[in-house]
Amino acid sequence: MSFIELKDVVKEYKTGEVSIKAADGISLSIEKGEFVVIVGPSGAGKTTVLNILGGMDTLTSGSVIVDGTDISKYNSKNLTAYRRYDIGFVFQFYNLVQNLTAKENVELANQISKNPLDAAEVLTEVGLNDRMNNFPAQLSGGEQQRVAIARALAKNPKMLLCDEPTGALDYNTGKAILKLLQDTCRKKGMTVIVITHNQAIVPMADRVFKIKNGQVSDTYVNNSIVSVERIEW
Amino acid sequence: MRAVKKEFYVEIRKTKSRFISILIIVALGVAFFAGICSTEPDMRLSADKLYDDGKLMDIRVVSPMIVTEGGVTGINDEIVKEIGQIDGVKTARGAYLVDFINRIGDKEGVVSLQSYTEGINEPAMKEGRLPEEINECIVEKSYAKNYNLKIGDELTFTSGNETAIESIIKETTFTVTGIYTSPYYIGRDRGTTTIGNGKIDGVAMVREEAFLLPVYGSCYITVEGAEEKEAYTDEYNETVEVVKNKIETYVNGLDGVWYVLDRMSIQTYGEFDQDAQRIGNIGKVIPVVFFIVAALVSLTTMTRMVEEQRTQIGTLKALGYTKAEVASKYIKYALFASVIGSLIGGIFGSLVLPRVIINAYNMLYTIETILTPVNMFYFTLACGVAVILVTVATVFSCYRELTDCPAALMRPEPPKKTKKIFLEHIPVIWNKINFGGKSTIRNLVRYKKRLFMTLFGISGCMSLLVVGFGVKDSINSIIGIQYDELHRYDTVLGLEAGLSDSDRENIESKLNNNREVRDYIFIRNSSLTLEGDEASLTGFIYVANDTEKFTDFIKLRDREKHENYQMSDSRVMISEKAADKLKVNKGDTIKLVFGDTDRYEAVVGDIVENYVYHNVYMTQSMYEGLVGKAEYNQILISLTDKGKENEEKIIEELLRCSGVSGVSYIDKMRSGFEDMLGSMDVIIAVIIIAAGGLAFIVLYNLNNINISERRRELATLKVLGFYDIEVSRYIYRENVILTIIGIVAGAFLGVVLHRFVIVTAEVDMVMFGRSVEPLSFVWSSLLTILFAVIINISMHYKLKKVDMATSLKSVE
Repeated sequence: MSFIELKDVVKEYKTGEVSIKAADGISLSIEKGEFVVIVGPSGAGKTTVLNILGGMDTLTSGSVIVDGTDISKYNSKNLTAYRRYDIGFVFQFYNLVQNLTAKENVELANQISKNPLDAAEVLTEVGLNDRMNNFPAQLSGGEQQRVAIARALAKNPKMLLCDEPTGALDYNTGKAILKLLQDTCRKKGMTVIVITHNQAIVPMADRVFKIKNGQVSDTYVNNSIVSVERIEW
Repeated sequence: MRAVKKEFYVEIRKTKSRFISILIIVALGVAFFAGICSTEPDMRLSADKLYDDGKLMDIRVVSPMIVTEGGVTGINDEIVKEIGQIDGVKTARGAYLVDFINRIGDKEGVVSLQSYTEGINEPAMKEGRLPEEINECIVEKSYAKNYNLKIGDELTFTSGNETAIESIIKETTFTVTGIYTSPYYIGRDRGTTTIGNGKIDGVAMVREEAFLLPVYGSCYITVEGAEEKEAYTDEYNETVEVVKNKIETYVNGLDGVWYVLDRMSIQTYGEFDQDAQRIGNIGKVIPVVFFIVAALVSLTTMTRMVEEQRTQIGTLKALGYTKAEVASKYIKYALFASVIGSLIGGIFGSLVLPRVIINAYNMLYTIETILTPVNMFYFTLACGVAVILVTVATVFSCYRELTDCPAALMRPEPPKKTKKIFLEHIPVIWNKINFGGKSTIRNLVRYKKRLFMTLFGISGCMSLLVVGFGVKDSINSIIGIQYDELHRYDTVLGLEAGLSDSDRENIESKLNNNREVRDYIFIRNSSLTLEGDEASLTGFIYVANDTEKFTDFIKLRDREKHENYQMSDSRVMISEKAADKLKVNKGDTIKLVFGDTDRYEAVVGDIVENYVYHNVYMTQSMYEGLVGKAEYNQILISLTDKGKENEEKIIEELLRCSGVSGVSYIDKMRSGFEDMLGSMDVIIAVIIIAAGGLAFIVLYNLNNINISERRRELATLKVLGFYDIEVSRYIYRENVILTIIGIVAGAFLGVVLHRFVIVTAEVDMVMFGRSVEPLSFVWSSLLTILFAVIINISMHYKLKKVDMATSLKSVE
C-alpha cells in the first residue's frame, strides 16, 4: 500500500442544471519521502486534487487513503484535525497573517501542532535568521514564501503540499525556493507534492503526474533526477 | 438595456443583504422620526374628534344658587337665553348637576346626577337608549363598570347633606336604560364633591324635567366656529377667548357669584395636552441617534462595496467612463435603498407608532377613535434627511477610489504598513501578554476605522438603554420623593371663605379629639402668577404662621445636599424648577401676581426641592406685610397608620362640619400621578427595542465587513487546521474587548443624553429626577451584552461557511 493513494476521485460542481467535473476519475499513488510534481495546463484540475488531498475540500466520489486512513469519509471536524496535524500547505500568494511578525506567523502554526519544531530554528533553516521579527509587509516575496514554508514545516506534518509556490516569484528566487523544498524533502524524508503549470521543473521530481481535463493523462517515475540549480527555463 | 444599467440591477440582486441593511436602517430611522413626531398632533387630532363628536362645551358658566329675601339668584332660563344671544355664541344650554349618595349593596358612593342637554356635552350611547321618562337614567361607562350596573337595574339616591332630596328632584329611584361615554370625561378622574367622602364615584344622566330646582347650576356654551378649529391649538383658544370675554362682561353685571370657565377647567383636558407635548419633546431627540447610525452604516457599507470593486472601477475608468458615470452606480444604489427604506419606514412609522403610543395612553384616557393620518411635514422631513445623509455618505465613501488613476485601481491594494504598535515598545508589559492577546491588540490598533465604528455602535446601544431605563427611574423616583419625603401629610381639607371663629373652633376640636389624627396645620394655599423678567408661571403660594410646624408637613430643603432651610420673614422661598424657568437666584426679585391686578414684589430666598407644580413659600408675617391679611383656607392633616386605614370615615365626619368646603386625598393624587407616569413604560419599551435593533444592525454590519476584509486571514487559519471554534475565538476576543469598552463609554454617554432628554421632555409643571439608578446600568449592560452575544453566535456560523479554497485562490 502506498503512502498516499487516490482512487477514482471525482469532484463535481453542480449549479442548477450545469454540472462541471473538476476531477473526473483521478487515481494516483505516492510513496513516502517522494518529491512529486503534478503538472498540467490551467484549469486541468491540479488544484482540485491538492485541495482534496489537503482536506480543504470534499470529493463527490472515490477514496483518498493517506498513511492507511481513508480521509474521504472524514467529517468537517476530522478534516480539520487532519489538516492540523498531518498537512503543511504552501500557497502561491504566501497567505501570511499581516499583523504578525515572521516568527509569530510560524508560532501561530506551532500552537496547534502535536510535535512542533522550534519556530526560530525552522526560520534559521530556511535562511531567515535576521528577518524573524519583521512583518510580512517588510519582507520580499521570496522571504515571505520562505516564512510560509517554515510555517508549514514547523508543524512537523506528514506531507508538504505546495500550490504553484513559485508563481509569484521571479526566476532566481523561484529556483531558490524550489531548492529549499527539494532539500527539505531529501534531508527530512518529507513527502513533498508540488503543483505547477511550468513543465520545465519536471526533471527535479521523483515522480511526475500529468493532469489534463480532470484526469491523469500520464505518470512516471523519474529515473534521472536533476538537481534544481542545474535546471534552466 | 444598456450594459451599465443591467449591471446595476444584477449588483442589487447579488448583494441583497447589503442593500437590505441600508434599507432597513433608513426605514427604522425614518419610522421613528416621522412616527414619534406625528404622535403629538395625532393625539390632539384624535381627542378633537372625540370632543367634536360629543359636542363638548367650549365655555361653562357656573353660578351657585343663592336664596335671598328678594328671590333666587343663579342661572335661570332668561339668563341662558341672553347668553345664547351674545355675539359669537352658537348654543347655550342650562344644565343641572347635583351630587347625591347612592348605595349599591354595601358600597356607598357619590354620584353626580346631571341633566341631559341637547346639542352640548352629548352622551355617546354604548348600550341601550336615552331616558324617556323622568324616572329613567343612563349611567356613565366607568360607573357601570365599577359597580356592575346593567340596563334594567334600579338606582336609589339619597341626599348627602341637610337639604331634602325631594326639593331637588322629583323621583329618587331611577331605572337604568343605557350606558354612555361623555367627551367631558376622557380620563379616570370624575372630580370632587362636598358630600360623602369628597370624591365623585360615578356619573349618571337624567332628563331635565326630573329636576325641581328654580335655577340651573351651569350653563354650557359652544362658540361659533370653534368646532371647525382643532382643540388645543392657538386658533381655537383665541376664538374661544373672544367670546369668553364677552360672557364675562355680561355676568359681571348680574347679582350673585359667577364663574366663567373654559375647557382647561376640565382636569383631563389639560393633562392630555401635556402628555402630547411630552411625546413631542422626546420625538425631537431620540430619532437623531438613529439618523447618525444610518449615516454610519451607509458609510461603512458603501465604502466596503467600493473597495471590493476597485478593479472594476479601474477598468471602467480605463475604458474612458468619467468619474461621475462611475460614481453614479454607487450613488444610485444607495439612493434606491434609502428612498425605498424611507417610504416604507415613513408610512409604517406614521401609521403604526402613534397608534401604539396612544393605545398605551388609553390606560389613562379613553380615546375611542385613534386618527393617524400621515403627517406630510414630518414624513417629508424625515425622508429628506435620511436620503440626503445616505447619499452624502456614499459620495464620501467613493471619493478616494474615484480620484485614483486607473492603473493604481487595477493593481491589488498594497497591504497597509505594519509597524510596531506603541505597547510593543514596553517589553515589560508586552512579553507578559500571551500570543492570542498580542494578535488581538495589534488587530484592534490596526483597523482603527472599524474599531471606532464598533465602539460607536455598542456605546450608542448602551447609552440608549441607559436613557430608557434612566428616564423610567427619574420619573418613578419623583413620586416617592415628593409624596413620602417632601409633602408629609395625608389629606388636605379645604375651608370656606369667611370662616367664622366658632366654625373654626368646632373643626379644631374635632381634629384634636380624634386620636387617629396625628397632627394638623392651618395654612393659606392659593394660586397665583409668578413673574420674572422674561417669563411668568402659574403656581401656588403656601403661607404659614407656625413655620417650624410647617416644615414637618412640607420639607423645605436643597435638592442635592438635602440641607434643610428655615423660612425667613423677609424672603420668599421658591421651588427649583420655577427658579430655573424664571431665571432667578437667591437674592433676586420676583413678582407675585394675584388675579390680574394685585402685584407685589418679593426677594427670593432659598431654592427648594420640589417636583410637582411651581410653589413659593412665605411666612404669615411677610404675607401680611406685603399683601394683607392671610386668611387660612386649608388644613393639612397627617394621620396615624390606623388613621390611614379609616381615612374615608374620618374625612366624612369632618366634611359635615360647617365651614369645610372640600377635601383632597394625597394618596389618590399620588396614584393618579403614578398612573400618568406609568404610561411612560410603553415609551421606554419602544426605546429599548429601538436600541436593540440599532445595535443589532450596526454590529451585524460591522462583523460582516470584518469577516469580508479578513477573509484570507481567516481562511489561512482554517487551512492551518484551526478548529471552527478557534477561528471564531480569534475574532471574539476583539469583539469582547470592544464590547466592554463600548459599555463603559456608553454608560457615560448615556448619563449625558439622559440629562438632556429629561430636561427636554419635562412637561412644564413637573420636574423629573435627574439621576439614574445603579440597577439601570446593570440592566443596560446585560442587554447590550446579550445583543453582542447574539451577533457573535451568528458570526460563528458565518465563519464556518468561509470557504478555504475560493478565499485563498485569487489576488483580491
